[in-house]
Amino acid sequence: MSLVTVNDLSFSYTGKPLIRNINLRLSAGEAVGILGINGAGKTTLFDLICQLRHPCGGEIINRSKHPTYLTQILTPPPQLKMCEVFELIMHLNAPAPMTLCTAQARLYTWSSALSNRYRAIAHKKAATCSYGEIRSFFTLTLLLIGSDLIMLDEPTAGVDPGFRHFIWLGIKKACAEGACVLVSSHYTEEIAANCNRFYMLAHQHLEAFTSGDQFLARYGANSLTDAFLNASLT
Amino acid sequence: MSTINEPNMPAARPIYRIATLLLKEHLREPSSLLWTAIAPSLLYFLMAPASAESENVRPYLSYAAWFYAYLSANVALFGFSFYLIGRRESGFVRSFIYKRASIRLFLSAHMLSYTALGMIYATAFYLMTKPLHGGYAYQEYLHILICFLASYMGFICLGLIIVALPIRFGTASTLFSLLSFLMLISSYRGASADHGQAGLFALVNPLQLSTLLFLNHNPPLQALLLIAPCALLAFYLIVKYFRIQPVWSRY
Repeated sequence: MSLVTVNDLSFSYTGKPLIRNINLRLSAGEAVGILGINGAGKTTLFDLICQLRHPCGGEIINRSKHPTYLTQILTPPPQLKMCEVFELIMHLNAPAPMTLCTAQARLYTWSSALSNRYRAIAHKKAATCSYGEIRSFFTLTLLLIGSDLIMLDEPTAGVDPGFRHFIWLGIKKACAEGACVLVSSHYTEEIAANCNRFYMLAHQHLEAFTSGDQFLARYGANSLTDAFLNASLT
Repeated sequence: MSTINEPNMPAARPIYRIATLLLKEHLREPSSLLWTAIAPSLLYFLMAPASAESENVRPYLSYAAWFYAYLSANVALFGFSFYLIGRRESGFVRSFIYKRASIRLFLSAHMLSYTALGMIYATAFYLMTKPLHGGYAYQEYLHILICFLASYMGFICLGLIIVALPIRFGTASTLFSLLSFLMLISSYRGASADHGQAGLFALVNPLQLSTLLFLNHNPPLQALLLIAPCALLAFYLIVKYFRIQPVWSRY
C-alpha cells in the first residue's frame, strides 16, 4: 500500500492553473525526487501534501503518521543556539523526543566527520551560522527524528559539497530505516544519481521516470541538464 | 522503522521547556531589553524623583501608573505579537508549527513565556523605582501585578488582531511603531488637556485607559475578570485560525 497517493490533483492560484491532473505514488523506504524549474509548483505540491493548501481538484491520500517538511526558506530564531533550536524542533515536530547526544551518536554511525561538524554547529548561535550550516543542520535533524514521510524542499541548495554528500547519505539511511523521502532539487544529476525514481514537473504536469537514461531518451538529450532544459522550456 | 524513545527527555513538560527557550531568546535580545526594561526605568528616574520632591504627598502609582501601562503594552505588542509575526515570516512556523497540536503547544508556551516575562519586568520596575517613594508594600505590589495582568491581556487582544492580519514583517513593524507613537502622543495630549478632555483622550487611547486602571484604588479584579475572557477568546481564535504561510510568499 502506498504511503501517499495523489490522484488527478489540480491546483490554481487565483484562477491561474499551476498543476493539472497530476498523479503521484510514494511508498515507504524509497527516495523520490521532484525536478522542476523555479515556479513550476514543487513547493506548492509539498504544501498540498502537508495540507497547508487545499487542492482545486483531485485527491491526496496521505497515510503517513509523522510527516515532516523542510521548507525552502527558513530562518531559525537568531538568539538561540542551534542545540536549543534542535530542542524546539523535538518538542514541536518529532514523533518522539530525542536528545542531541543521541542524534550525534546516530550520525556517528553514518560518519564520524559528519557527527563532529553537526556537533560544532549545534553549539553555535543561529545568528552566527551560515546559510549552508543552517540548511544542513535542519535537513540532518529531520532525517534523524524518525518521521515516516520526510519532505525536503531543495535541501542541498547553497550547501557545500561535503554536506551535500552527507545529506544524501542521510536520505539513504532514513530510507533504509523505512522512511519515505520526497526531495525537490534543480540539480538533475544529484536526483538521478541518488533517488530510486523521480518526477519532472513542467508545464503543469508531472511525469515519472525510473532512471536518468529514461529521462535522457524521453527528451532526446545527451546530458541530464539538456534534458531538464528541454523538458522545462520547450 | 525504528522508534526513537529517550527516557531522559522531559517530554511530559514540553510546554515549560519551550516557554523557557522563548524566555532565553527574549532575554538575549539587547534591543528589547533596552526598550522594555532599561529605558522606562531610566526615564522614570529622570522624571519622577524631581516631581516627588516637590509634591511628595502624591502616591507612588500617580507617577508610576503610566510606566506600568507602557510596559504591559510593550511586552504584549512588541514582544508577544510581533514575535509571532517574525516567526511566521521567517518560515519557521511553516516548517515546524503547522500541525494543530504543534500550534496549540507553541502558542500556549509563547503565552506562558511572555506573561512570565511581563511579570518579571513589572516586578523589576517596582523593585527599582519604589524606594524613591518609601518602602515596599505587599498589597501595593499585588495590586500592581493584577492591574498589569489585566492591562497586558487587553493589549494582547489588540496584538492578536494585528497577528491575524496578512501583513509582512516590515509592515507589522511600521504598524506597531505607529500604534505606539499614537498612544504616546495621545497620552501627552491627555496629560496636558483639562480634566474633561483628558477623559475623552482616555476613551480612545488604550495606554491611557490602562493607566487609569492602575490609578483606580478599588480592587482591579473586576477589570481582570472582564478582560481575561476576551483575551482567552482571542487566544482561542488565533490558535484556530493561526496564519502559517509567510505573507511574503509568492502567492
